[in-house]
Amino acid sequence: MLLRVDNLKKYFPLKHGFIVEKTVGYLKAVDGVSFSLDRNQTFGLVGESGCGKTTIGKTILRIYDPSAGRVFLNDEDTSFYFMPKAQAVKFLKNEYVARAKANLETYKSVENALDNVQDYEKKYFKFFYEKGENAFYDHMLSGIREKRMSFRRAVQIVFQDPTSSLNPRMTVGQMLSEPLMFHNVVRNRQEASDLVQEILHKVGLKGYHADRYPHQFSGGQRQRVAVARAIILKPQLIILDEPTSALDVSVQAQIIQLLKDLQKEMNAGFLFISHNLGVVRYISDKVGIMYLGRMVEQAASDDIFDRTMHPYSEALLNSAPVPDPKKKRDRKQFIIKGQVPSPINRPQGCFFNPRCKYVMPECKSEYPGFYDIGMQHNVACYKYKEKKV
Amino acid sequence: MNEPVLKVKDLKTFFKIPEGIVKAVNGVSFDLSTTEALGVVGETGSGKSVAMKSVMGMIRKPGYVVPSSQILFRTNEFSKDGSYEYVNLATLEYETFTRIRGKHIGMVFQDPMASLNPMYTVADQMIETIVFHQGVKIDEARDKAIELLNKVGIANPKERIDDYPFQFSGGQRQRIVIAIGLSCNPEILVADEPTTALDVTIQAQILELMKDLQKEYKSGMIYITHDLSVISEIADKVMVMYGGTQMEIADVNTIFENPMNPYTNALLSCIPRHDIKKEKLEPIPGQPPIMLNPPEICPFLPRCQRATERCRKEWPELTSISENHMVRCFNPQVNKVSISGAKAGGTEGGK
Repeated sequence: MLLRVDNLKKYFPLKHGFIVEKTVGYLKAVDGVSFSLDRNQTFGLVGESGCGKTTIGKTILRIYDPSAGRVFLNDEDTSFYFMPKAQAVKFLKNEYVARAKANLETYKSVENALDNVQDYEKKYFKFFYEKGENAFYDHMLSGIREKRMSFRRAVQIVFQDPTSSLNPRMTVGQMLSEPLMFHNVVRNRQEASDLVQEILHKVGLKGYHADRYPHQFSGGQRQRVAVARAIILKPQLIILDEPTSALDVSVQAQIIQLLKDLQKEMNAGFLFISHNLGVVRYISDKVGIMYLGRMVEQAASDDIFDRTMHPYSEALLNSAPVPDPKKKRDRKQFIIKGQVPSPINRPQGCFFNPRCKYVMPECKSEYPGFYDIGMQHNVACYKYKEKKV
Repeated sequence: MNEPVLKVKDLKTFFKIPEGIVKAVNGVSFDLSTTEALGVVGETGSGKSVAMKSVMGMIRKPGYVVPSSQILFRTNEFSKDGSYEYVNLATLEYETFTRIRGKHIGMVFQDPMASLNPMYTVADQMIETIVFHQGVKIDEARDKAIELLNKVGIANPKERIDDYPFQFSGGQRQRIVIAIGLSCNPEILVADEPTTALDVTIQAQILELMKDLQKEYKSGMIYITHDLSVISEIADKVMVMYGGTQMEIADVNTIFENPMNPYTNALLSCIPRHDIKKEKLEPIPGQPPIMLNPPEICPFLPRCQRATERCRKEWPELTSISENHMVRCFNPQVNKVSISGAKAGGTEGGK
């Protein structure tokens, strides 16, 4: 598995007070999200603004460190790579050592304890049982610099607005050769410039564009430059954070097509974050719909759009207009009243219950778990409790 | 009252800059009656906003509306005996225009945070408009403002009217702007991308609200957007713009099922949809045109697949294909390849 996100949480502390700051609460931007992604696959993350989809992308890229939960890249835990040492040790203690000790107590023998952890984390537990706690920390934190470097090479991002994500004072050539030099991919400037030319052609630009500054391009071309910068190190995972939202439809189609073609060529995994449902359906293999920091529904792309189950997904999909006047249906029945509640003060029970038309008593007491309704279609809603497989 | 309230004929708006002339709007014609919603769709820089700003008299230097353009607005504002007559807004003085703008033509813009003044309460801003145009007392205007807020779906309007714009959410702010736009019961409401900054669920709420209010207030609506899906939802009549000029105008079913202009057709086939599985998108190759000193030929020519020798030499005029269907193209063609991709749109348009 290329990417595995396991119960990822990102909380932002809310500080209060002058001189002496006190944490008065947390904004739970991402609150326990799990999904996985293979090579040559695209996972689409959908949701309204403030649902935490961008935070997930940034946490995977490690612009933020996760508050809890793990991010695996090629079955290697990468969550602690960019933490200061003390924090990393604390993290490892919570995630592995404490669990390993508890498991050993419950299951008595090492073999049984190992059988009760997931396959992808088995090697860490094994190491701990064999070598002990301190050796485990040393093992995990050894060579952290190299690990960081290879992680940075393997994961790249394309942001929404190319005008602000490209440095206005650098030419495209400088921008593209900087990562090559930094990661020692090339030995000299000539090699770098050759590679830059190759990449520019690949994204549909011309070789002479290397000497130009971002302001000399149109919006679509700028986004092509941003894509070029993301793919120049041949990454395994690319996070695409609303890459087409700032573009016109005709140019949007060009960029989406380009991304699809590049994915085939590079055999990379894409995490595609967008609020545009049409684009997500077109590009994704798997889709997760998010609401207030949690995934409410997750399934294969066509399945989730043709067989929408969660009340929120239903409302979201029916709110999105379709370019077909014949389908101009009476949408009043689907329109959800009110607004998304504040992520600081979320409702008790299922977060969607104040706006949901199918609300049941149990929705108000506890957040529902995932129910599989077949074909790996997971829904977090009590409506599907009986259909549990 | 079936006479159109607005008749625009060959509207041209140019900007004179040191490098030359930017032809932002170059030939736009349409009629609008008070029961219609006209959707104007086009990409960035297609001139859709500038065209509608010309109608609202909001073009300032270095821009100007070319004197040969006609923007005929049916009103009794200037006549002595109160009878209705057509006034050419293109020749109206900027100061005289204030009697039209806001009173007879209401406006809703894209970003409600930018169109509401953050330093004044909602009450101040609503009452100002009503008092200025209708000459009523402040108390009366306040009652009217509260009634309007109630109509656009703001809860507890009596208390909330004294709040500042930042105390409202994005959707609520847009509701307030719509209330201000409708406060003088205008004949036309011009909405420039009013839902672009909003989430889809909120967008759906606002679209429903605008549809209902348009019917209730019997005002014509001009809805500008780049989103064809929104257009199909709200418009009765659609105008497609590209490179400052109008490529096609027809009722909404015709545009989506029998687009005749190659640009309309290309635009429809490059939208990804969430309700239908599409195997392949067909992007339009090339870049949008530059509007500085454009040649007198079809702006879509460099990206067009139906281009002929004639296209390189002449400026295509807007020609009528059938009643209410006008196309600017030398090679108009009915394209049965409709947006659904898989199944071709076979049935005839019409309600």
